[in-house]
Amino acid sequence: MFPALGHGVGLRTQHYAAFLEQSPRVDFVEAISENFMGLGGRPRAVLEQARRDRPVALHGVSLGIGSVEPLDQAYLKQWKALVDEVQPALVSDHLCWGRAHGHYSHDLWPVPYTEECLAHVVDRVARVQDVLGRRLLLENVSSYLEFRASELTEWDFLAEVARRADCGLLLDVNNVYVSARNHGFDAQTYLDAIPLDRVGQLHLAGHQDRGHLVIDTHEGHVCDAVWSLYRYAVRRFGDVSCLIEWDEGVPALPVLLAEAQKARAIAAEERAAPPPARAPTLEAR
Amino acid sequence: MSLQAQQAQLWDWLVGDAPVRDTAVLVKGGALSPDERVNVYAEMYWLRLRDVLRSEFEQVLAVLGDEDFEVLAAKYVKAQPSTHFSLNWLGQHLPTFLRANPVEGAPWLWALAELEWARSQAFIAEASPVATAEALGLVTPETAETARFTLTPSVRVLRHPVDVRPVFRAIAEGQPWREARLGATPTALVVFRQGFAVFHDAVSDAEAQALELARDGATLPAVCEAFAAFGDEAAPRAFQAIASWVNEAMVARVEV
Repeated sequence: MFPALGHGVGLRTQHYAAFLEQSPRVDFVEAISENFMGLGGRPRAVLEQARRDRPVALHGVSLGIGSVEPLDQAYLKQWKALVDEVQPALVSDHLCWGRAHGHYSHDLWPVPYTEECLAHVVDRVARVQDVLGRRLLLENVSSYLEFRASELTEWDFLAEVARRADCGLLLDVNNVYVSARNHGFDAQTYLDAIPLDRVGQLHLAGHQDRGHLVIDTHEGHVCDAVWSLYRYAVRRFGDVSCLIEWDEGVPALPVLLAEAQKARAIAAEERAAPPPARAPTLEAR
Repeated sequence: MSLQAQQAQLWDWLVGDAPVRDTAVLVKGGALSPDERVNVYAEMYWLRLRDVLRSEFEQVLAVLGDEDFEVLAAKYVKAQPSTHFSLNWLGQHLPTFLRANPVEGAPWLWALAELEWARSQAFIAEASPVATAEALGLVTPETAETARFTLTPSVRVLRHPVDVRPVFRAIAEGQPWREARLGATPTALVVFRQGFAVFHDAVSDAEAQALELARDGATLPAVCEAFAAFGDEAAPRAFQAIASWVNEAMVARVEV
């Protein structure tokens, strides 16, 4: 359903020179859509160079699919233009909200998992997919609070959005871990509930563990617990594109590429292992 | 509570100053109180926007220092919440904000901020073709009346009551900016990009006006009018300026 691109890294300004001049070996890169929408200059030249050598995924942060504010038509227009020009292998944004009173928070705030919100999100995903003319991947966000009004678990909500809106999912394994720690649920239960055929991409990242709270910082190496959960995800979802996100204290490119290589090696190990009994897809239950 | 009401409540908590009194919205339990959980997001919101402003206005930061910049950023973000989907635009109103709220001891800071903003916008301006010197040959006595010069999207014209370039240069070179001599006369600057490199330079008032006219689509005779004060020298000065625009990759195309 979605192309398996291998193991990639985020395209970040710290590595622009390397991508312009050296064409580093990496399966694919993921670019933040908003950093290139309607813009030119060096950033756009880097994206053009990167896409000549490998597939590109476009990852958005400002769609606000869960916001009650109307979809930003100017945003959709520029996004569509970028997608048409870049022809990315994957297009994604987050299951969140972050816009009100005509203002952007530039953050990824969780939505309440209610039937009202579900219908709202499903409607908007359908409209976005109509505009883009392609399937969107929605990513689960890390969260630090929960709503009393929630009627569904996060994983059931996510699965239901994918089923009703006929969209894909970008499963951020680190975010699952972070939220599981913060809210006390079982991360594997979360993964077990996600329909196999909806997952088009995985994310891995570092976080900050404060003991009583885990913060999704996208800084540092992926921790052992998240690598373990990643193994579980690979066993469950198979050959899915996987990206290392490292946005704070961005290291030298070789360090980032080594993290992607580690993800690749783990995936190879898990795929070589005997297949576990698979949980049924949502549609089959 | 409807989704709309929930988001309005959350927005007031996370972005505004509303205290988290009504915790009926949030799940209680765990090691953190609802207040503390909301504050995680509120802090992230503020730090993200502050950091964007710090990286966008490194020169203003150098003049103010960390503490005063923090105060400025807080006031600015409150007065001008982001209305654009891209953080690239967060700082678009900072020069105007600084002009309306001058900093004691550095009332010219808005001009430095405007120069920084113009440079960053030039850096990310859309790619454009660049007219070659040969394109000027299209302008003949027969075509001059209707000739137009389309400037590249990176070109910006700034007008300041002082010349902030010495301060800009000092900070860019890591020198103490207080020792830089601020130019006391009104100064017009043009900001432009060649390849990926951004430049700024002072231009005469007449040339600044000519650039603005060309940018707004004026014909060659109208652009030349900007140099009218030079009398018989007007035409040669106009053509000298236009030739330099072409040489410096400020002209996208010549239309006749």
